[in-house]
Amino acid sequence: MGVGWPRNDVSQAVLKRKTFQKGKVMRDPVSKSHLWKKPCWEKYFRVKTPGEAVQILEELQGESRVIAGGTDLLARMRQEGFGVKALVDITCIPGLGEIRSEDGLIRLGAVATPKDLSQSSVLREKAFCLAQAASQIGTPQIRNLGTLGGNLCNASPAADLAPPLLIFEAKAKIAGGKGEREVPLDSFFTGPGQTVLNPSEILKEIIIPELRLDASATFLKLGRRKAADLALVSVAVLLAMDRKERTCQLIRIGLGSVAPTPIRAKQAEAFLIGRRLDDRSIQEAAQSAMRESQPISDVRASSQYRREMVGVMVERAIRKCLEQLEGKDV
Amino acid sequence: MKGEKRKVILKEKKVEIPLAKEELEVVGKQVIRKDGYEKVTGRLKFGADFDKAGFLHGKVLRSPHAHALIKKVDVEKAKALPGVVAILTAEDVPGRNGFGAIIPDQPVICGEKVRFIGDGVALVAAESEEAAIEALKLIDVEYEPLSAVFSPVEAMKPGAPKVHENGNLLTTVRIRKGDTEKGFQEAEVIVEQTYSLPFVEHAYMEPDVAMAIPHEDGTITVKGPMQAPFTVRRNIAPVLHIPISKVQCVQTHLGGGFGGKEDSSIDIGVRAALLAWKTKRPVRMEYEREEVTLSTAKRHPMIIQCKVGAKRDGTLTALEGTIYNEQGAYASLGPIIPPAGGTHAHAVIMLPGPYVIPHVKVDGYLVYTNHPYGGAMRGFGAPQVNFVHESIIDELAEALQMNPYDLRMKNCFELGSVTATGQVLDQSIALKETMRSAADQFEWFKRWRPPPSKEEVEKVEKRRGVGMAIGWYRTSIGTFSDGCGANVYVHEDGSVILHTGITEMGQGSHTVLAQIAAEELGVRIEDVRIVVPDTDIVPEAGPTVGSRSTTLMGNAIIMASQAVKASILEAASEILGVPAERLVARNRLIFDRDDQTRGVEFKEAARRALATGKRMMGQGWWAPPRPSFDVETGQGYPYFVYTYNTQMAEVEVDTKTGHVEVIKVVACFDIGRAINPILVEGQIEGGIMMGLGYAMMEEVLLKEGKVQNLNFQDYMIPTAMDAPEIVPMILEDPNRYGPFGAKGIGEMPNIPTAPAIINAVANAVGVRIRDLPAHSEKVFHAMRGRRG
Repeated sequence: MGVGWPRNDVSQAVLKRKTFQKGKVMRDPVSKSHLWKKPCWEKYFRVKTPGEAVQILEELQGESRVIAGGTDLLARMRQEGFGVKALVDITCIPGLGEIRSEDGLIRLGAVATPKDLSQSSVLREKAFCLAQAASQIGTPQIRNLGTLGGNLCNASPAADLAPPLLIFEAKAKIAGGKGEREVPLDSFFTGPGQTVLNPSEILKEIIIPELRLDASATFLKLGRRKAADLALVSVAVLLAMDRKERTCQLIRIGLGSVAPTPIRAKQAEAFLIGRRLDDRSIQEAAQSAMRESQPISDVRASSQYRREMVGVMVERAIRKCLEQLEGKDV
Repeated sequence: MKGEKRKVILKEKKVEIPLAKEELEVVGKQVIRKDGYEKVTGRLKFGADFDKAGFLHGKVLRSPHAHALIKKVDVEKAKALPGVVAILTAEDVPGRNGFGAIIPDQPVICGEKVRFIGDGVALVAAESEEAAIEALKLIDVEYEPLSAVFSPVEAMKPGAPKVHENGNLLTTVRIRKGDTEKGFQEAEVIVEQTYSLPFVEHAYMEPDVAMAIPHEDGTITVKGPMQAPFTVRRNIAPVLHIPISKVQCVQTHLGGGFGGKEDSSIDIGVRAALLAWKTKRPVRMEYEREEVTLSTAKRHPMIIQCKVGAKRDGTLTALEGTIYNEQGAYASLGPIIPPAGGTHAHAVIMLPGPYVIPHVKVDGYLVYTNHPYGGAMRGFGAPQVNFVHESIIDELAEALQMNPYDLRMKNCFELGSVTATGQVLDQSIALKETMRSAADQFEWFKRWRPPPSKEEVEKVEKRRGVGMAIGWYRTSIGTFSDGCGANVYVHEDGSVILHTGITEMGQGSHTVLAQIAAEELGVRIEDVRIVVPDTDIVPEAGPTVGSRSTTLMGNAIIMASQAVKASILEAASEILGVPAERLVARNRLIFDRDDQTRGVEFKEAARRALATGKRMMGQGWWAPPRPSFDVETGQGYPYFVYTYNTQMAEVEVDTKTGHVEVIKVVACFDIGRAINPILVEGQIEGGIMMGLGYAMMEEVLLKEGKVQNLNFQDYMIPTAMDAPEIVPMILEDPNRYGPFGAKGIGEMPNIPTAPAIINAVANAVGVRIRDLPAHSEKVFHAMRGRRG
C-alpha cells in the first residue's frame, strides 16, 4: 500500500498540531526515531487537485514520490534506506476516495482505503469478491491507512486487490502532463515493483464493470496464518455457466504471489471455456494454472509448494463459484 | 475458630498450613490489576516514552561477519562528523570487557574477533540519532574472515573452527540412573527417534531501551525495561571498574520480557552505561526491532536423539537421550549455575519427563557456534525436551496400540514417585488429577480414535484429530543463590509500601504480591503500594524468572509483613486491653477473636504504633530448601517443587494445503493455590498462544549465520485470529513451602502445547512432524511423502 501520513481526521489533527506548536519538536508518527534507516524527504506537499500533483512531479522529475497511505512506501524507504526531495500527498484531493456506481460501471477512487472497499455497499452488492479481498489485507491499522492506488502502484506480486480486479478486467485511469489515459489492468504491471506509470503520472481511478447477474466471483487467499500476512498464493475466479448444459460460458482466473506480477491464468481459462464443468475439467484447468504460474522461493515458502497450492486454490475457487451459482435463482 | 489457624501461622512465622479459601479476604480473589487502568488507558510510560531531551543517542556498530578477526578499526572520519561526541572501541573499556548473565564471555565491544553477525564492534554517542547513524557508516573496520561453524554437531567434531579459545563444548551434563542396557533388554517395544527444535525469538512487543545517567559523585543510574535489574547491576560495575554500590538500576515498565529481557537488558544497559561513563553525559539507547531479532538471546535450538523402551502392557523400562544444545556465540544463560541452574542443566533434568522410569541415561552437550545465542525463554529448556518426551510417548503408544492417555496414566508421577534424578516427590503433586479433569472436560475417550490410514486421509479435504501432552515445571531456579528479600513499611494512616525487586512485566506479579501483603497484614489491596524496582532501594531479589516470583517473594513478603504486623497488633492490644495473641487483623480491622465486637481500626493501631515508638517496618528473606545436583550422575534434588499440567488439543488439518487449524485447547494445571485466578487464566491463555506459535510458525531462519526474518513481516507469531477456544482449568494441591500453598505458573502453560498440537496433527492425518515448526508447507510435504 502507499505509505505516509495519516489520512482524514488524523491528518487534520497533525496539521493542527503543526500550526499550534510551532517551534516545538514535532513528534509526528513518521519521523519518530524508531527507524532502522530513516526515511527522509525535504518537502511534503499536500495537493488539492491531480493537476497540482502532476505539476510537482514533473518539476522534480524522478526525485519525488507520490504518497497516499504510506504503509508500503515508508516501510520501503526505511528498509532500503533511500530519501527523496519531495513527497506528494494525494489523499486530500476531493473525490479521489469515492466509490460509486454509474451506467453499469463501478468507479473506485485511487485513495479509497481497503476499509472503504470492504465496507462499501456498492461493492458488497456488485463486486463482493473485491470487498472480500480488501478485508483480508494486513491489519485493521493498515486497512484504515493504506489505499487501493497504493496497493496497485506498489506493484507487489502479492497485492491482494490485484487478482479480483484482474478478473473484472478493470481499467486504470491515469492522469499525467499530457492529460488522462486508460490502461487495462493486466498491462498495468510490468514487473515486481514496476508499473506503466511514468514518474510524473498518478493513478486516479479504477473502473470495473458490475458483475453480470448470472455470474459468480470469489477470492481465496492462502497465508501462513489467518490474519496480518502476505499471501503465499491468492486466487480470484469469475465464472458464468449455461445452467442446462453445465458448460462454462465465462471464466477468468486471477493469480497473486506466483509470478513477477499478478497474472491471469489465460490457458486455464481457454481450456475451460465451453467445456462441461465437472471434476475432471476443473482439475485440468487447475493443473493448467499451475503450469502458468512461475513462483519463486523465499523465506515464506518454496516455489514448489506455491505452485502446488495454485492448483489447490484454483480448484477450490472454481468449486466455490459453482456452489454460489447453484444457489442463485437466476 | 476462624482465628485459630492464623494464630498458628503468626507464631511459626512461616506459612506451612495453607488456609482454607473461605477464610481469605484478598488471596484467591480476582482483584483488579495494580497497573490495569494505566495500561488500558495508555497512560503508562514505557522506556521509549521518556523525554529524550538532554540525552545523547547511542548506537552499536554490528559485525556483518559470523566469524572474523578484527584487523583495524578506523574511527577518524566518523569522529569528525558534526554532532558526534564519542566513538568507543575495545580499548576504551575501563574495566572488564565482557558481560553475560552467567559467564562474562560476550565483549562489550569486540577487540580481537567477532563471533556472530550482530556482534558489537564499536559504540557511538551523538547529539542526534541521525548523526549517530551517519557515524556508524563512516567507521571503517577491516576484518579477516574465519571459517565459521553453524551446527552444534559440527562444532563438536575435532578440527571444527573454534568459537572460543577453550573449545566449543561449553558444558556437559549427564543423568545416570540404573542400567539402561538392562532396561532395554527388559523392553518388548523400543522406539528411537531424532527431533529438532529451532531458534525462536521472544517477540516481546517493546524493543529494548536503556537510559544511562552519570552523576558528579561517581555513581551512575541506568533505567530501562529490565527483567533482572540486579543482574544488570552486577554486570555494569566490573565493566566500569567501580563497586556495585555505585551502580543504580531502575526498572521502567516492561512491555513483555518472556526471559529475553533478562539478557538483553544487560547487553543494552552495559553499553549505554559505558557511553555515559566515557562522555560524562546522559546517554539513551534504543534497539530497533531488527536489532533485537539480530543480536539478542533466543530460545536454544536443540537436536535431540531419544530412545524409549516399554513392556507390552506399557510399563516404561528405559530411556536414553542425547541433547545437542546449540548455545550460539555466547554463553548467556546456557551454562550451569551450581548446582542445577542454567538452561542446559534444566533441559537435561527435564528430558525424561514426568514419568517413572527405572533406567535412565541422558547426555547433554552445550556447544558454541557462530549463530546468535540461546538464552532464557519462557520454559528455559523445557519446551524443547517436553516436545521430545511427549512426542515419543505418543509414538510409543502407537507402537503398543494403546490409547496415549492410558500409557501416560500408567507411567506418570504421583505422590511418592521417584524422578530420574532420584528426587522423591513427597507433596503437592496432582498430575494424574489434571489428566482426569482435562479428559472429562475435553471428552477425550469419546473423541480419540486411532490415527487414520492413507486412504482415509485422502478421501476428505479436512480432517480433525486430537492430541494430548503432559508436563512438569519447576518453581525456583535450582541455584544456591535463590534467596530474595522484601521490606514492608506501614504508615500511620494504615497505608503500606512494599519494596520488592521482582519485576512486573505484564504477568501481574505486583498485583499478586500486593495481595499476599494485604492478606497477611489484614488490609485491603488498594492500601498496598509496590515501588518500581530500584536497586538502590529494594533488597536483592534475584531475577524475575523460573516461575519463582509468587512463591519465593511471596514467602519473603509474608515474613516481612508478620514482622511489622507484630507492632501493629501490640499497639492494638494496648488500645483494646486484649492480649495480642488473641487479635486478628482482617479488612482494615483488628478484633478480638473471642469477642468480635471488640475491635479497632488498623490505621488507629498503626498511628499508636508510630506514636509509641514501635517498629514500623518489617524485613523478610526467603530462600527455598537447598538444592542439590551432580552434573556427572544427574542425581539430586534440583528444585524444591513442581507445577504439573495436562493439555489436550483438537486440530483440523487441510489435507490438500497442509494448513493446521487449532480448534480447541483444554489445559488443566496443578498450581498449589491460585492467588489471583484471573491472572492465572491470563498466564494460561497467553502461554498456550506462545506454545501454538512454537508448534506451527515461529522460527528464526538462518542462512550462513545471517537472520533472514528480522521483523514481524517475516517472523510469524500467532495473531488473535489464530487463537483456538482455550479452556483453562485450575486444580489446587497446596505446596507446603508456598505462600498460601502457591506454586509457579508463569512458564508452564507454554510447554506442553506444541506436542499436544503435533500429536493431534499425527492423530488427524497420520503424519508425524519431528522438527518444529509444523507450518503448512512442512505438513503438506509430510503428507505427500506418506502418499509416496
